[in-house]
Amino acid sequence: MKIHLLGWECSGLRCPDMKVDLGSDGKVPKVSLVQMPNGTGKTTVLTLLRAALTGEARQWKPETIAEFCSRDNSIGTGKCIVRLSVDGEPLTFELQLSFAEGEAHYRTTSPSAGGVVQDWHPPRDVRRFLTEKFVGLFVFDGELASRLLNPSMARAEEAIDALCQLDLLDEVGIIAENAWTKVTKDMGAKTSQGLAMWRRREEILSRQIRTVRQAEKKAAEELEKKRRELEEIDSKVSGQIAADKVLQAELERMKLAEKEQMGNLESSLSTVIQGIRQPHRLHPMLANALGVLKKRLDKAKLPDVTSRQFFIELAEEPKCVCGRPIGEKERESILSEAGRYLGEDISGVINALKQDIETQVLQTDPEQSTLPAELHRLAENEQKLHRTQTELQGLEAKGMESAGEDIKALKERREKLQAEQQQLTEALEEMQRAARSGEDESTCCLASLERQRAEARKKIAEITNTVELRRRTDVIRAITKNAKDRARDRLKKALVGDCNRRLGKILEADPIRVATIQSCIVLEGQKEGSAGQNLAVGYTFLATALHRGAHEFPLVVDSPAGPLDDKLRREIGEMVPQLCDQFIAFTISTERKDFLPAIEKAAGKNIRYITLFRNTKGTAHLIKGLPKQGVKNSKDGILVEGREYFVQFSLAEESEV
Amino acid sequence: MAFRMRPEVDDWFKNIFKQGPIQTKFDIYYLCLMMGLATGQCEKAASGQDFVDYFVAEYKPVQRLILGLFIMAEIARLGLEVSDREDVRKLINGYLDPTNPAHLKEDGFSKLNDYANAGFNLIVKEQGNIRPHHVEVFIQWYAQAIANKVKGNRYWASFGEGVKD
Repeated sequence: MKIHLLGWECSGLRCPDMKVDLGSDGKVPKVSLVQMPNGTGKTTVLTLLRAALTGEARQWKPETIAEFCSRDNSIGTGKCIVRLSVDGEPLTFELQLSFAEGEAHYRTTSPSAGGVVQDWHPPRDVRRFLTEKFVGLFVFDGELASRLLNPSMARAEEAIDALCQLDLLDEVGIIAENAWTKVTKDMGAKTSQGLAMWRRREEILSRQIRTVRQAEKKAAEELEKKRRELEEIDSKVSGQIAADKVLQAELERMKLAEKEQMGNLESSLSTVIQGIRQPHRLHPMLANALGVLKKRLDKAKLPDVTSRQFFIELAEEPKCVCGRPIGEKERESILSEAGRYLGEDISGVINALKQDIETQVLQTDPEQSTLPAELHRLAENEQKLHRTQTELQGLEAKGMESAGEDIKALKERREKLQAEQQQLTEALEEMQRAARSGEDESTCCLASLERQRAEARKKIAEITNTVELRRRTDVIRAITKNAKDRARDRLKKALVGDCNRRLGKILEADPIRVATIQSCIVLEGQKEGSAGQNLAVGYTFLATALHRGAHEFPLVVDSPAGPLDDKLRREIGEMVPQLCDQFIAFTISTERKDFLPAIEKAAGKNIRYITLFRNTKGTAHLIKGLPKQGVKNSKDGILVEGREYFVQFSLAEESEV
Repeated sequence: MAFRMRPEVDDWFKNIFKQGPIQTKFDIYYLCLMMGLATGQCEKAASGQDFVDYFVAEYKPVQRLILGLFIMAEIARLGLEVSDREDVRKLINGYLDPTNPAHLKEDGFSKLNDYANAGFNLIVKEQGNIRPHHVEVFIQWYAQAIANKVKGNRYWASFGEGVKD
C-alpha cells in the first residue's frame, strides 16, 4: 500500500486559515518543505493532522477542543481537512470541532468506503495503519528518531509493535478477556454474593494497572527529559571551568587521583569479598566451631566404620556373619537397624567435610588469615576516595562561584533536577519491582497488581463455574503473548539486517552498525553514536520498518534539523530523502542553513517550497516583498509558493513575526 | 528443590547486585544464609523462587564447610550434642544427599532456605529497611554485623576465639 499526503486545509483554528496543496492526481514531490515561523501553529497543524488521520479527536475532552479555537473565531466551529492518496485512490478526512459543545465530528470521503460517511470511517485495509501509535511513527517531531536509541524510552520496541501491527495480537487477547467477563457478568444474578465483591476487586485492580502503566510511561519520559537537561547543564558547567586554566589543571589532577583510588577501592573490595565467601573466615569462632565439629565427629566415630550398605547386603544373606540363620524376623530387624547408619556415600561426604576442615581451616596459618586487615584497608581506601571526591566537588564549586550568578543558578537547577531524577527513579523502581506478599490493590507495583488480579479472576471463575473458560482465556492470552514475542524477535533480526544494509550506503564515510534491537536500538561496539549518527540510525530504522511489507508512508516531521549543528544538518538533509517516497518537513528559517543545500542535493528538483505566515500588523511590512505569483491570502494567513521566497524569508523577519 | 529466595530479596539488594564483586544471586543468598546461621534463626518464607540447585563455582570449594556450619546450627537449635551418634546420624541422614550436586535433600534445602530467609529479614531490620546503595559500605557493615551476631550467639561464642583469623 502506498499512502501519500496530498495536502490539508484549516479554518477557524489556532493556526492561520489556509489550504496547503502538496500534490495533485495522486502525485507528490519527494520533498515538501513547509516553512512556518515560530508562532504560526506548526505544532497545532501536526496535532490536527494526526487527529484527522486517527479519529482520536472523538475522545478529546471539551477543554482540549476549546484550545484549538482561533482568537477571532465568530462561527463557533473549526475545521481541518486532510487529503490522502491511497494507492492512487483519494481518501479525505474532515475533522470539525464545535467549540461551544466541546465536540469533534468527522466526515470521511472515499470511493472504496462508499462515498461520503458522516464519521471517521476509512476503508478497512487502511484503517489498520491509522492507529494513534502507528501514525505517531510517520507524523512526529524531530526528536523521536534519537529517542529510539534511548534505553529508558523503549520506543524502538513500541515502534516495531505498531509498525508491524503486533498490537493486533493483544487485541485478540482482549477480545477473549472481554468474552469471559461478559459470561461471568451474565451469570452474576444467579450466583453467590461473593461474586460482586470479587468482580469489584478485579475492576479496581484493572483500573489501577492501567493507571500505573500510564504513570510508568510518563515517569520514563520525564526521566529522559531531566537526563537531557542535566547533560546540557553539565556541559555548560564544564565549559565555564575550562575557561580557568589553573583550575582546569587542578581538576584534571584530582580526577586522575579519583580514578586511581577507585581502582584501589575495587581491588580491596574484591579481596574482602573473597575472604567473606569463606565462611570460617567470617569470624574466628566459626573457624573454631568447625575445628571442634571435626574433633567431636572423630570422637563419636562418625561416620561409622560400618555403613548402611553392609546391613542391607547382610539382610539378603541366608546366614549372619556369626553363622546364625537369618529368617524373616531377623531380616526385618537388620534392615530397620540399617536405617540408623549412614550410607557409604554420606560417609564419603562427612569424611570429605572433615578433610576440608583439616586443610582449609585447621592447617591454615593464622598469620595468613587477614580478613580484619583487608577490611581495614577497604575502609581506608573508601575514606581516601571520599576525601578526593569532596575536594573535587569543592573545586567545581569554586569554578562556579568565580563564574558568577548564572552558573550558581545552573548549579541549583542541577541539584533540583538530580533530586527530581532520584524521585522519578524510585517511583519507577517501585512500579517495576517484584511482587511482595501481603500487598493490596493500593500498591504501585505492577507485578503485585497483576498477581492480585489473576487471583481475583480465579475466584470469579470458581464462583461462576467458568474455570474451564478462564483456563482457555488464559491459554489464548499466553498464545498471543508468545506469538507476539516470537514475531517481534524475528522482526528485530530482519530489521537489523535491513537497517545495516541501508546504513552502509547512507553513512559510507562515517560507518555505524546496529547490533541488536532490544527495547531500544543498540549500536555495535559503542554505547551511543554522535547525535548525527543517532538520528541517522533512528530515521533509518523508522523508514526500514515503515517500508516492510511493500508499504509506503509519508514521513511528516516537525523541525527535523532544529536541535542539530551545521554538520549534522548536512548529514540528515542528505540522508532523509533516500529513506522514503514523500518527506514533509515543517521548518523555521533558522533551520535552512546547511540543511537546505543538503536536502536539495539529495532530492534534486523534486522539492516543493512553501512559506506560510500569519497576516498581522507585525508582518505587514512583508506584504510589499511578496512575489507576483504563487501567493495565497486568507483572513489571517499568507502562503507563498516557490524557492525564491522560501530562501529569502530571513531570520530577522521571522523574529519580528 | 533448590536454593530459594523471596522475590523481594532481589529487589532489596538490586542497587548493589552486579556492583563490584557481587555478581551472582548466590552471593546474595550466602550473605543472608550466613547471617541466619550466625544468629541461629530460621524462618519459613511464605513465597520464594528457586534460583539454582547447586553451589556456584565461587562457593564450590567451601560447600562442605557451609554444610558443616549448617549441621552445627541445627545441632544447636535442636539441643543435640555431636557426641550423640544416633541423633547426629539421624540429622545427617535427614538433610544430606550425596547424590545431589548440592549434597542436600529436600528437607536440607528447605531448612537452609529458612536460615537464609531469617538472615535476610535480619539484614533488612538492622539496616533500618534502607536498601544498600554502595557495595563497599554494605560489606563493611555486614562484616561487622556478622561478627557481632556470632559473638552474641551463645552457641558460637562457646567455641571461643582460640584460632585467630
